[in-house]
Amino acid sequence: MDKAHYEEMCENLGNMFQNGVFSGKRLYLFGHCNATETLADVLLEKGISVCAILDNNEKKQGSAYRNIPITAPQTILSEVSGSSLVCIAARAYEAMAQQLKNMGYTDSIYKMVEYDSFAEYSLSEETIKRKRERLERGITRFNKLSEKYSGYMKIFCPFNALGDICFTMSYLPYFLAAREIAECVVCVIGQACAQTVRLFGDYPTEIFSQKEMDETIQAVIYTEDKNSFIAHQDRPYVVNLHKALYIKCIPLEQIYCCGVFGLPKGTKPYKPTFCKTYEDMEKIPKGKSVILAPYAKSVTALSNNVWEQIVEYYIERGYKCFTNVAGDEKPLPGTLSVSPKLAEVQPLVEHASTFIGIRSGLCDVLRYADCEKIALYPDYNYCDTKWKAIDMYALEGWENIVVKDGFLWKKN
Amino acid sequence: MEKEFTKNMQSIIRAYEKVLFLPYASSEIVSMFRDYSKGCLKNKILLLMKEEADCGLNDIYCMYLNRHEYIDLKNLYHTYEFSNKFSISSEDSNFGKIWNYVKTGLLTPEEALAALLY
Repeated sequence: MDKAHYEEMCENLGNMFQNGVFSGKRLYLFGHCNATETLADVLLEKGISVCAILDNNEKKQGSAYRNIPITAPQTILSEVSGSSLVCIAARAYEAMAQQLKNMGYTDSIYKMVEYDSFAEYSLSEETIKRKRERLERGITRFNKLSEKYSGYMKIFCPFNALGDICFTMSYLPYFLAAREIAECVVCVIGQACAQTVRLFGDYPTEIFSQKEMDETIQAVIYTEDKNSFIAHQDRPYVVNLHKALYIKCIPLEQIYCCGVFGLPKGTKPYKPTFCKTYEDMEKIPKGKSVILAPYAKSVTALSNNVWEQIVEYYIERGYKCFTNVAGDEKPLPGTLSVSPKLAEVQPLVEHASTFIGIRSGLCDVLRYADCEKIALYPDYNYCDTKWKAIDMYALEGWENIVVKDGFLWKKN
Repeated sequence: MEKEFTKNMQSIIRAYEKVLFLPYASSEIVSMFRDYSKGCLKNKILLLMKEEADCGLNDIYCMYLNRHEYIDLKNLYHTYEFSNKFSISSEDSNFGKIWNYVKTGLLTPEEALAALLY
């Protein structure tokens, strides 16, 4: 969960405490994901117990997070009416809330984070009026952007995820060439995404907040502007590419190449080449260092034990271990922290010789780094599909490892 | 938005498991839909078409929209996602579409339709 959503969630929780929402109620969370784990952490810190995390994925049911059982959504129907509440910190809030109502659940359901401002499953006059006002704001912002970049193709990257930006930028030049577009501006959320764009060239970028981005994209959809393109595989709701995954496994790289951009299979992706030397390179022993990346904002964390095994293994063999950290993140025990800029990461890991990270967007940034690269995959399914994360995200030229319960680090 | 129109949409959403709006359906897609929707899909999936598109489907599966209804529905759907039962298969060129998989050989047309109606 990124900082802005975390703060929004904490503010909502604070208001709920103030209004006594939790008082005397049995609390359930719905949807086991990184954001729900963060929500559970905050609740437990405040001394609020959680009865269960409801999840549709049968493979998750029966396991637990911090001793909170993960159970089927139907579990909640055993609660006496008026005695419980459900908190949801997931993008599919509307669908999940609808599911609970369809099951016959009649108590309160709370949206903890606004992950998807496009959706509201209602046709009430009040909803339509509010969504029209949102659209008007988007059209105003979109018109200003169009004035600033007159004659440019506007490329919208709707989500704050480095991997999505990497895929977009890898295939964008072909797309622009096919449409005979000379100039474009890439619109992203946050500085990190803008930095990722610049790894691929000197593209003009515009940085939006998530709310601004959603509203502007809504304007693009409504006006059907021909000089705009939304480069994503499952956002916003009009994009139906992800539905193919209910029928067939299509790796994310192909989803972008063929689905998003309509390019032939096998199109050779552009590589991120605009790198800079890491400022403190002299502190990293060349060829005898490991850069570890255990943190990702959209992936459930791996257990400390996994990282302890890895650190121990490399230290025993004379390597110096570093943890890539940002903000308040702490280095793993036995390691030192490094905080390279995105443009510096590839030269850093190539100098170090080894990179090991949880499979996140950072791995996409480092996809072509010339060193030993290992991606660790928590054993989860991709969204609500039957495909595993490794089926969707496996990286060519990397060692791809699924981390299951009882994982033992065995290095050849 | 006319109240009558939103009321009709609410009824449709309640009545069907999936509603697919095909403003620019080709005869090939309509033919596939006809094959796909035989038998078991009765009252589960509704295809919305523009009035001028005479696809030969019976009214169990298909509803024709006049010009005003078509514009109202398109504008409403392009304002926000009002239901996850409803989807549109358009020819808009400003985002990727499932038919790109067919064009690039990743899916057959039948698989693409099945995915849309999943």
